[in-house]
Amino acid sequence: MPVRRIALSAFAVLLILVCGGLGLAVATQGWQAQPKYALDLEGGTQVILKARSNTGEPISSEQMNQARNIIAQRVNAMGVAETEISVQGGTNIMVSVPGSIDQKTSDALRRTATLAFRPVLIQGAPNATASDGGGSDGTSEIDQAKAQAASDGGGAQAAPKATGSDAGGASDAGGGASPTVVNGKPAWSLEQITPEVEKQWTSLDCTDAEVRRNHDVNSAPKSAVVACAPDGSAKYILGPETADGTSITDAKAAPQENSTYYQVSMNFDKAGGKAFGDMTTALFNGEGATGQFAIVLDSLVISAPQVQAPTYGGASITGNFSADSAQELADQLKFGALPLEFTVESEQEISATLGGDQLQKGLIAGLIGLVLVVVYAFFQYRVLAIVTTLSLLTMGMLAYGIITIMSNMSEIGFRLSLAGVAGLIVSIAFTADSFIVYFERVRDEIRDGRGIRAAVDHGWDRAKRTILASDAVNLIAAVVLYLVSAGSVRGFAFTLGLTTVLDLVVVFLFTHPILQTLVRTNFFGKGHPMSGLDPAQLGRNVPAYAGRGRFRSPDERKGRRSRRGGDDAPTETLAERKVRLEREMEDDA
Amino acid sequence: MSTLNLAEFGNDLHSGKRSFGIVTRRRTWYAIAIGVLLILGIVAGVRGFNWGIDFTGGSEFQVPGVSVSDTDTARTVVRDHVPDNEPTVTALGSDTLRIQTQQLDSDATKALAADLASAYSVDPSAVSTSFIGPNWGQGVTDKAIRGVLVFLALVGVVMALYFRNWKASAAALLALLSDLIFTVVAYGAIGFEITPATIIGFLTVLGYSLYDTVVVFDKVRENTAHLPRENRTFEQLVNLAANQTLVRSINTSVVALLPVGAILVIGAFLLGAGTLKDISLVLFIGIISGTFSSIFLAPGLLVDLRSRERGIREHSARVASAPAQEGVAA
Repeated sequence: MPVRRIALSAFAVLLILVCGGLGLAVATQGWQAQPKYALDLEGGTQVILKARSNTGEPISSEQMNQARNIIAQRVNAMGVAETEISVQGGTNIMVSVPGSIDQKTSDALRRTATLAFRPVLIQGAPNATASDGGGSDGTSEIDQAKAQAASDGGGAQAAPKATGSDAGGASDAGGGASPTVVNGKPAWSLEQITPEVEKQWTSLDCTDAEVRRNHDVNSAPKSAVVACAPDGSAKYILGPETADGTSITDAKAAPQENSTYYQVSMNFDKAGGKAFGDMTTALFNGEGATGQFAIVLDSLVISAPQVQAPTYGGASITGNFSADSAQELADQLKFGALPLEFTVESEQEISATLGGDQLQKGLIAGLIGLVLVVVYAFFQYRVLAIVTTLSLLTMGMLAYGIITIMSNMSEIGFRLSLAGVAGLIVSIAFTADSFIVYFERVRDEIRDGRGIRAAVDHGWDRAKRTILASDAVNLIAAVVLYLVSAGSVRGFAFTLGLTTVLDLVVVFLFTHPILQTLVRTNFFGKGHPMSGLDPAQLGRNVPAYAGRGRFRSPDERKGRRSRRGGDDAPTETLAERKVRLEREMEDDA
Repeated sequence: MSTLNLAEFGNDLHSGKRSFGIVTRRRTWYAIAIGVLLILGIVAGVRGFNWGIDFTGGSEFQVPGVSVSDTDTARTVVRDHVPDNEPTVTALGSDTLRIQTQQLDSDATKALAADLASAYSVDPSAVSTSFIGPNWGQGVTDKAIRGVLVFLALVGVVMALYFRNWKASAAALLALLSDLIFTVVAYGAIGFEITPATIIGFLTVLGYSLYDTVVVFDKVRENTAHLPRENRTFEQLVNLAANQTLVRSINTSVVALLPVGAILVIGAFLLGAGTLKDISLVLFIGIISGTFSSIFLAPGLLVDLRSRERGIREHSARVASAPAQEGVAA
């Protein structure tokens, strides 16, 4: 089977998969057959969060902005739906979510960022181990740890490390009811593990994102808990809380000395510093089950550093942090330190800000524009414009299908704003440029004296490079902006990336093979005046070699064409071309 | 029909029978570009940029106990007070209208609240007002700027590798810079409100402009691949490439401008204001600028950057001293 047929078949399969898959999901999964719209077109839910200072001090606008940024980070981390978040009236944060608010987002908003420090008792594989019936596999890790604890400090290896900084304050480690002693035992003792915790240790599956999201450890500050790493790569048993986020006074990221990595340093207030110091001292001296403590944010273990030195008042965490991941951890620590508590004050439906006619008229305008593109293509490329039209049409279908699928999948939750719709129409028109580059190349090859079939193949070889290079520019833009940016810029990057990839798919798997197939017909292959590939119109006024030793003059080609069969398509061998080109050179000179 | 067909025009450009002084007259194009940028820059500077409430924050009014389907009344009332910005009017729940507009001082806020109350015939004291912060926060802007810088660095390296010449990359980025400045000052001079849709359009221009230049430079690369053997100077070959891709550039910009133009016409004249008008205007400006720069600026800049290279200098000298032969028709 020729390559062009394989490509066309692959394209057909892709089209069927996208459209059929969508149709099936609409029929059986209750999906919508059209993309979901963003706030401006659909309206949604507005949640007002009221901030309350838990220290009684007035709330500064800086704190509110910080809180706003962190909430934005949390809500926007869940896909590319465009959520609007702003500070309202000084102490409120207004969150507007498109459509009805789902449980996940609602939880994310209601969850106060609780940050806590707990000693790590056991670190293990993230998956559940109870399914094999015995349960002894999971608990054996605990038994093993208990046995090992008797001989040495134990502990995992590749953990970040925490060292004391000189900013130490309260080093008087004596007296008073310490938060580090719970139920008469130190927080880092394996004896904190209750049978319930043991049971949870075997059953909790940290590899399941849903489980991680719903798992809560904040409600049990005074007992040992099982917790997951945010990416589901590890599972921990943690002792009771020894200090919480409000005791952090500051946190910042800085480059690490003599290293390409970054470190995060934090400072504690007096009480927090003492509790933290007691814990790190004990862990450092090997009194704990492991030498690690966990930083728990929103019930997930965001970092579990190994204690390098006991530390009071301040600490720095080192590890394989990049500038970004260090800054992120510092921000998380600081947010945990925000003395703010948010309560949901109201949750209301809000209408679309743009009337339905805006979308309708925008779509009509876009359609008119695309029809004009087709008309223009017809004037430029004659019947060849059919290829453009079909390519645009399949491109539109694929884009519509994929966007609808993306917006129905709750993990992605893509939503189209009016700007997105306009951008999509325009980028579909931009992709027509690939055809223009291609067709102009083919024409150049015909102008250079190649036969039409050879011109398509040679023109493609050159156009391919140009198309790949220029699409690479857009693809880099899409990927970088998607990774780096937030909010509606991210949504834009998503659309740009999608249309660029689709452009490549359509050009490689559809436009080129279709053209290859078409030039095997008499109409295109012999350059009918309406085909857009007529050598005479392209200024090739030399007789074309017509096979079987005959040449056709341009006049002959214009006048009579339908009489010849398909076996004498106007192709020429390289040697013939060389002879002809030499002749042309002489003519010109 | 034949008047619309660029094929013959393209034939002559391809063979070099007809040729425009795209590169040879580059100083003229630079001068035109700088002149236009200066004029628009001054106009934009005098007018100032009109940032929308998504960026600046503003004032919010809530009118309870009304029929929420009537948002036009609110728009009309707000436009009397704040002519330059499009208010955001939203229904909250079943009977409250929320109106957001640019930040007003307390007198203006009171006056607008009173007018809104009378327009909807509700008690003035029922209209609540508050300040709202920007929902396009500094964080989004910072991240977008960082994204653009990373993109430019990355694409600069990729282009330098692809064309095997860092000067081609530099010329493309310089042309892009002129597009970005042109788009910003032209938008500012026209005075439309800057909304998130404007930013989206602006980012689209970023990709489009470079894309357009890459296509032209690819032809340059092809024409100059065997430079030592050519009997035309580097400058002439670049000029030929720019001419040969001219039809493509015209077709591409027409094809891109058609839908943008349709949306702009409908957005600006039928709908009056809002997202469609903003995004299509910025795209319209950007596409025109991107086409201009990829034809008239980028190839010229490439020649200026590279003409001092030893190989090219020597080759040009050789061509100049060689006996007269058929070169490009000037």
